[in-house]
Amino acid sequence: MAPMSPVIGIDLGTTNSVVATLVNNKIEVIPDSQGNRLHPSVVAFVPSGEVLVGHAARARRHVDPRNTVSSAKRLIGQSINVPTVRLAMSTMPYQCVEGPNEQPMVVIRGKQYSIPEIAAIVLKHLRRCAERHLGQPVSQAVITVPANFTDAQRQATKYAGELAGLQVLRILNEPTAAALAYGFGRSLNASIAIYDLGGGTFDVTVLQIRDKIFEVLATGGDSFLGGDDFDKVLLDKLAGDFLATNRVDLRDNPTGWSRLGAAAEQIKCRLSEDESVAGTIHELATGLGGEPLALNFEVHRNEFENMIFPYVERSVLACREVLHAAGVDAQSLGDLILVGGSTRTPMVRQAIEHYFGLEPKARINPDETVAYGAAIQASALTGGGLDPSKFYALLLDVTPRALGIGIVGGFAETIIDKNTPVPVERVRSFSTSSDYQTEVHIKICQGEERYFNDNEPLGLLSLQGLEPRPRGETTIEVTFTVDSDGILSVEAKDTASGQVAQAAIQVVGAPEVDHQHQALPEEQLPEPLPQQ
Amino acid sequence: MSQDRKAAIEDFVERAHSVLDQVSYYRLLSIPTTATEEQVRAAYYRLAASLHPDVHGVGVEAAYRKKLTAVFSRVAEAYKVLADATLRARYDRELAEGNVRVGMGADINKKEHDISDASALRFYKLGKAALGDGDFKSALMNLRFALQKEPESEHIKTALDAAEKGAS
Repeated sequence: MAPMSPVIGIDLGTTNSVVATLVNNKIEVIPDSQGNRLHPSVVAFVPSGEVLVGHAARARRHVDPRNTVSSAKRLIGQSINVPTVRLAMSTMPYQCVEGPNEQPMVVIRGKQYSIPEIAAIVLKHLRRCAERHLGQPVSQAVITVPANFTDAQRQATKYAGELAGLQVLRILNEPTAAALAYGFGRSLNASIAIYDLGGGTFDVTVLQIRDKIFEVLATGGDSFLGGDDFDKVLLDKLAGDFLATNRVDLRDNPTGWSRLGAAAEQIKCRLSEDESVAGTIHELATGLGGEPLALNFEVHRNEFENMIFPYVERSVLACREVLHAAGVDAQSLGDLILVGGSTRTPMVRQAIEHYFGLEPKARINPDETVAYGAAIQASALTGGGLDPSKFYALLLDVTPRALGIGIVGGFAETIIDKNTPVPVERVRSFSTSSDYQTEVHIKICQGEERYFNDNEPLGLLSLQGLEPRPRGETTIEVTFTVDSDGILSVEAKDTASGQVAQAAIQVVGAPEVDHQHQALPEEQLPEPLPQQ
Repeated sequence: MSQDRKAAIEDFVERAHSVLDQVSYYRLLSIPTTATEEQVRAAYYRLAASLHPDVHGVGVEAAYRKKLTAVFSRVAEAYKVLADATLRARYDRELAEGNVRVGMGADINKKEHDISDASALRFYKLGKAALGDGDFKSALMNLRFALQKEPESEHIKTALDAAEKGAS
């Protein structure tokens, strides 16, 4: 057998990233050259042409906000036309334009970068840190993503890993990774809930853990809810105060806006410890006479809590849905794990403690938990799990959303239910819906809504060259396969001729795929056949 | 030790894969029809520890991985149905009629129906679904509509028979 080369687990976060590896059954978090274990997910393009990542890049955020890219995870694998993406983009200090296939492109001094390219720069930095720390080359990794990431977001993340020279062994859900970290090396038999409130996303997952088997019972969340929203409400309040006192709107001033944003984040963090925070933010703008303008502020914790209440409530509602889907009631949960920096906010802890009736456990540093789990999974996938001494853990994960296709009448027909264990393969048969049709279009979507258009479109598959026959006489067999990464592949087959659809799935917002928006004739959509 | 286990698993996968559409969920999980929910879960975990593609590592040959995926996903389907009291009751009724799979997708190996009229098909489908849920009133209504549109269909007649028996 070839000597084992190290595999790493990466928590590619919205705000910060963490990289870890398993050495002799112990998890090690890998620091950068300065010894920092948290690596800001920030890329700074310096005028000299140098590209900085991590702490060095983060420091450039207030000096040169237009050429410093942060929070790119909020945009990865998404179409620029999604309203929430547009909203997120409007708060970014750097410039974004529409690129090929509806994807957002970051513009730095006239040069365009795709979001996976930006993420790849961060990943390459993490890989370098690992190589320096371990003293050998690293080429395989497990990368985590929020549980509610779409297929396109997963693919874009995987692609970013490949651009960074990594073989991505698995795209792992963050809450599941946290559960692995929690249960690793203990002989548990319990159901647990993971509440993960990060910078930009919120997930809740319920798992059954028995010894080394980790079964995900249900998962859900909100891909646009997180600590950044807490910053944003504070930022809006501070900007409002500044406008009232100085008659200057900082929204028109990227540098001032970014400085104010940084202050808002600090105030939020300090409010986790202190009942109130007061101070002055200097040099936010320049007055009419050229004098620097500052803002004196005082924020009380309960004032802040009133502002963030709607966001916290949204997360509790999502918990209720997920517990219901898992068939578990809050009282029977063995433990509650909090992940993500935003769970440090006292009000968040109180709200979930109250809802679950449990005091949350924080055995591991919440910032590092997810990377721990990624490192465990990386070892589990490369260790040869058939040998009991190398059976580290087995994750039985599920599809976070339903997957289906568009059928006649504008409906969506679910092929794979939400919360189905992966990997999964499902075959369904459909018939032609109009006489003598020679092609059929399979529109693929993700979501639980009845109408196709209310779900998220994933792509299109066209099967051509069907033998013209009366409607209903041609049977099309559609196979959906979701691999362990949660990535979908679809095949359509004409059962008479055995011909298989040629086209690859076109995923909206995914990198390097041509997306053509064509109006599809209704009569070329498939018609479901009854089951049994 | 590990080699023996590997060979035993390969053998199981080959055999299970060849009869996947013929065995009941109980047979697949090797549990009695009286198994408790706890026994169903234990059987699933035991099989998953051998059959889940992840246990076999990243270097598994593609053709074998495809078989593993097919067998594992059917095992998971069996578990999902048998661990849920409502789905299990429906499955037990279907099984008594000779159907080894339920509500999770069509069996592609047999002719599904003899219906060509699209609206008859829609009503037939609704009727079958209602029948599966034990809602005989709705089943009767839908299947009668279906038969009106397609009076010759044996499939509709059979289903309607079942609905009438259930309703009386």
